[in-house]
Amino acid sequence: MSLLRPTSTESALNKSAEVLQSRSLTQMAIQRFLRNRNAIIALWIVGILLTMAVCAPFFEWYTGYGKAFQDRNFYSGQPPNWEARHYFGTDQNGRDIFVRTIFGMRISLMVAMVAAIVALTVGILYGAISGLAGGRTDAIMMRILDLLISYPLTLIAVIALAYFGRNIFIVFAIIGLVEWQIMARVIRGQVLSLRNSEFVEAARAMGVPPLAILRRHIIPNVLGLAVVYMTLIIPEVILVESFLGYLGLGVQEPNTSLGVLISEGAARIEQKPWFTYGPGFFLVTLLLALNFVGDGLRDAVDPKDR
Amino acid sequence: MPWTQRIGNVNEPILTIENLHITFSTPDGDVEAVKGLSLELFPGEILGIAGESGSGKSQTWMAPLGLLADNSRVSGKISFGGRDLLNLNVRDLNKVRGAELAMVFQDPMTSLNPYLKIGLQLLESIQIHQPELSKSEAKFRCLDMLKRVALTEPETRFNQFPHELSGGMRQRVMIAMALLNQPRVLIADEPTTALDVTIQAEILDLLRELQRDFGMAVVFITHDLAVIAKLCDRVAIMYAGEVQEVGVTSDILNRSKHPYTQSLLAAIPRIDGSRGEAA
Amino acid sequence: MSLLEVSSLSVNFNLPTPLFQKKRILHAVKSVSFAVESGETLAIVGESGSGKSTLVRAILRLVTASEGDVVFDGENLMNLNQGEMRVRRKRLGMIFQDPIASLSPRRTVFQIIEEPLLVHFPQMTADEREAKVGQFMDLMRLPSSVRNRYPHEFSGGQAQRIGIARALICEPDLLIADEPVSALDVSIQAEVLDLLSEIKESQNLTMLFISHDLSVVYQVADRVLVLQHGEIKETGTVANIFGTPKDPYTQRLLAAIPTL
Repeated sequence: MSLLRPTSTESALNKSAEVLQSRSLTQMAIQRFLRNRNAIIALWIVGILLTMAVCAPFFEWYTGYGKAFQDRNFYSGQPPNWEARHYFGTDQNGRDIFVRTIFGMRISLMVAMVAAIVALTVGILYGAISGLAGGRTDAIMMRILDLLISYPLTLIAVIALAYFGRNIFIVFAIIGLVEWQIMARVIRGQVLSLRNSEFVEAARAMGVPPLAILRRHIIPNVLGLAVVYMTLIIPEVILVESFLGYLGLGVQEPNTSLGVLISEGAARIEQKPWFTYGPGFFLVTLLLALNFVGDGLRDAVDPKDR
Repeated sequence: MPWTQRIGNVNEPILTIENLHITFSTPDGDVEAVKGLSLELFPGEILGIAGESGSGKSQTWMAPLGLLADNSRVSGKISFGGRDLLNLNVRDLNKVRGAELAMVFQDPMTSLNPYLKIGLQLLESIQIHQPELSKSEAKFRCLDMLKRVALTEPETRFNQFPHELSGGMRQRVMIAMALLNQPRVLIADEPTTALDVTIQAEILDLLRELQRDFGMAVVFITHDLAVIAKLCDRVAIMYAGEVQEVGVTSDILNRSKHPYTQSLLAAIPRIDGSRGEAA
Repeated sequence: MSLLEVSSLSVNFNLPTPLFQKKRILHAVKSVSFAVESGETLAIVGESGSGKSTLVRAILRLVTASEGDVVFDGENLMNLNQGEMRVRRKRLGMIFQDPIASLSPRRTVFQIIEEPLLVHFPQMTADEREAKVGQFMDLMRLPSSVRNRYPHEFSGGQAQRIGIARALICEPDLLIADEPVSALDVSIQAEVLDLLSEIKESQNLTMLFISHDLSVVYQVADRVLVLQHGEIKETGTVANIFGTPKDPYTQRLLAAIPTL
């Protein structure tokens, strides 16, 4: 067989090079996501909420926040009032609840993102190293993880906050500390299955050192899963933060979070029920939308037809 | 009943495919997998479908069984037992597939449910189509069929899980499952491709023997012309969704002038110092 | 002196055993010895479960051998630590059975073929690497337009060419091919085997070729080693094995080949 005769494989390659557009796995996943209507709608909602959180000072100006505070007694504890631009009413100090809610959402989202990033980084590293190392190291690391998971969050939170005071950074730290464990477990599972794949074996046969295998072959293939889990962790973090806030362990005044607002509202629910409408509505919407986005991402990254 | 009588009139095709078009809609546009294919299958014959990956050979035979993917569009006509299989609703189709028209797939590792014992999967197949049988009667037929496919220790295998069997054994179980309801047509989609050469030889012998005993028509899909030479009465050569040539096996393999067929023949390794050449 | 000398190589696996029962051991490879001369192609033939894949993985130390020696170019690989072994891997190339699965799914063709250079020739500049990758893509007759594509976009035969380019780019002394064409259609098998034969000639490559299919082996091998249940049943030149097979197992393997 001569070098000159073109084979069918080569002509196929040449033809496909002209016609088809190359797509990486990530691009294919993005395409799949974009076809999911629910996920797109949810993404828009999250986007709107995020924009509102960023533009919080605008809402403050819009409702004459400062004015209300000066005239406290007149404005305090008012039910929703369309003309005065207090769509959700005012709270006990005369502050517009809608504005408070937006500021609260800002804090909630900030906590969520910081905690999620901490969880992501620590979780991926811990899980990947544990999964790749295998054997005794893996076993020890997993037992440590088991130990950490079995500690109740509330107890730790209460003790830490009692010791360090109501500091927003403590809140970040505690939540991050809890969430990374789940991520570590999930990533480790994925790494274990990747370890046995042929392309990792090929890399080992090539002589690629373990850290390079981790960096080039393993991490890129767990990122998809990590992103999916992150979008599911964020709502959970917001809930945990809200829970802490509800217990009175959340952020300090004048900052507030959705949880704190709901807590304040719950205390007065019989006389002034509108205190909870704002924060409640936004919390539920945010969580639902984030969950839908997470679902959409999971379907996009791990399609059944592959 | 002698098998010749069971077959019926050998001059009338038992299954006819007319002008079959299968198109898949993908993000990059439509892909036409099968382009206006027409083919006849006669009772009692072994018809080989030869072609490379991507020729459309598997998709063509998924169509009569209604197994095409959701993003497919099918047109044309497939006549079997006086009905157009492409126009049947699911309920009627279910009466046909598994009973009169059965299929054996390529990868025995993934075709069996790993969580169910072999026996249960066999029973499922027979009880759906012959509900009038008692449980013991059904079990008896299953064991009988396992013996027919030359599976060693059938009673033990009946209670084992798929992962406890080797590839060759699993494929025998698949064949047994397909034959339980005495189909008139058996479609085998590359049944030996995933198996070692020695096991392949055994499975091919088995298929020929069973075809003789049961008198059914067999459609054997493969990319290996040497296997077709060994097993099939007639062969259809497929390329890019169309039938290039169809005829009696010895005619096609020895006397074909069609350029694609010749290139397929040229690719077959021969153990006599040369690469196989077309006559 | 042979390029590769394997002596009494055994690989045992501990099977999961219920508590309090005697340990069950699977003897995948049982004291196998053979040699490969420089420039020759030795085929290892056996069915599933014969231990052929385990044997080569033990030679490459991807699997731990229980006992035995593997002497490559005068040096016993079993005595090296992981770091030293990694350096030797520059001279050992491997191609795998599932062509697409052996390529990292999130890396482009260029990155995949380039990787061995990054590992073994860190002093090469980016331009030098680019040139080398281009050279081997041409050798495998892969058009340069596919360098930014991903493994899942290729067919089996095409992906195997990428795998071969990757295995050969460091110009190894020994190429180990683990059933490289078993997953391919017969016509594509022919193309890939032709390619391997050409490379074998032009690069004077020593090859260890594993297969369950004797007809494939006929096209590439000089000598054949028949393996069953971890033991060598017969060795000989291609002419001997195919012409006058002595062992009944070899005869069975030959008889199973479908011919026109």
